[in-house]
Amino acid sequence: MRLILAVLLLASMPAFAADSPGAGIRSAFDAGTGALGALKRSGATLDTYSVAERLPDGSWLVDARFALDGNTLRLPVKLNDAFDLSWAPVSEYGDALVGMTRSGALPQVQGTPWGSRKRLPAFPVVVTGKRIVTVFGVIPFEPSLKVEPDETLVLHTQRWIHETMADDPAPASFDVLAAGNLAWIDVVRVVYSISATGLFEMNFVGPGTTTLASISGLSPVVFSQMAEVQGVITLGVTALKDTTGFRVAISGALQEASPKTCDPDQTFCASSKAEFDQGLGDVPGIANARFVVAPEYGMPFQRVVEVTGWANDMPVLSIVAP
Amino acid sequence: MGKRHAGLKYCCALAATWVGCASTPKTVATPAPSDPTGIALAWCATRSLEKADIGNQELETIVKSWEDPQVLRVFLDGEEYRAVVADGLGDELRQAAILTIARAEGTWAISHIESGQTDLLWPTY
Repeated sequence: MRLILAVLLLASMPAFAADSPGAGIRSAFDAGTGALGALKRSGATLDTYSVAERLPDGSWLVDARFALDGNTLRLPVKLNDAFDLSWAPVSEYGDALVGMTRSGALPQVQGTPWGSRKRLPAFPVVVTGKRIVTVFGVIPFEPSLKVEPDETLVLHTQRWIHETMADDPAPASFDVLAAGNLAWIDVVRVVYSISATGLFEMNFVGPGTTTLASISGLSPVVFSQMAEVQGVITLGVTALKDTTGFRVAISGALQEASPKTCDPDQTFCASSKAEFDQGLGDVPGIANARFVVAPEYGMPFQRVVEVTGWANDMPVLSIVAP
Repeated sequence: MGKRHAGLKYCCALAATWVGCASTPKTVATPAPSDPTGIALAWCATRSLEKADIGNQELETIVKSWEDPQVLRVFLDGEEYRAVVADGLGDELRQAAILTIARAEGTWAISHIESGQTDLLWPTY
């Protein structure tokens, strides 16, 4: 009986328990579990947490923030109701996150600093030309012209929703850290696989002006619902030799080419934000409609991100699979 | 529930010093929370509206009626944190107290309280 009481008293000592998400993450980072160990080995330092979301089972899904080489990185971890680590991404994800950040392969992004973007915890994926790395492991990835979901990535996404998020319906975001030299169609396959499983808010991450930034938009699944709405503007984006061509459809009706267009197949052409604003503004019936961006097949991801990053936060940033 | 947590609850119950939200047992001897989430959890015990808008009768009525106050979400908003507190866990939309937690003289403290909804920060389209 004395032994039991002694154990209970020891167990009740505050020094043995984390009293907050911050303390829980610190303890887990010091222990170097999974991706936390990979970040630690890279020289990253723990900063704070961006968001702590209480899940239906009482645990916490926390976006921890780390500083690395002048950038701010985010990493989801799960803490139990006593703020002890209950899940962390696999080590391979931490290595991929660090590697991608340092590689210079990410597309330039003119957006909100990734570390301070206000959002619920998101399912992150790192995409190179040969593999997709999620918080659950590595998925081989081969470029393809077919837009079809990657079955393994779908399974990873389902695992995120059911296991990690405990089926909390509120978080619906995912972060894409994809190499800028990937064809947009390959990024579409990744986005489709995730959004078809239920996550609809996508964030593209890349170097911004001073630190990693992200642009946010809605996924194609949402577009298919929006297409029923009147006044939706679809922008077909085509990379031309010295400029970018845009085909504009309003509620599905292709608009006539502007007299000033550089190519009769394009409604207008633009190579700067100012030209884009002017060209779009000249399209009749454009006012009060909503945007959807629809890039062409072979367009590099880097170029699409540049285009979508132009306007002052388009009401809808999305993509349409061919 | 883990054994350690069960023991902690048992001891706290014996001492009758249980304060704070359900998942965060604290004793009187526990130092003041140094983390925004800890601040929000501790607020559940008192539900003090000292920092609320003056004359916010609606907020007072809501908060005082809660049987099981829970911190649902804490997020960074610029230099401050915001905490969403409501009655019980669960995803149904309901009224909440939104705490603004700011750093003052090196420590986190509640700087403002207002009424809101539990879907604060949910993605929308």
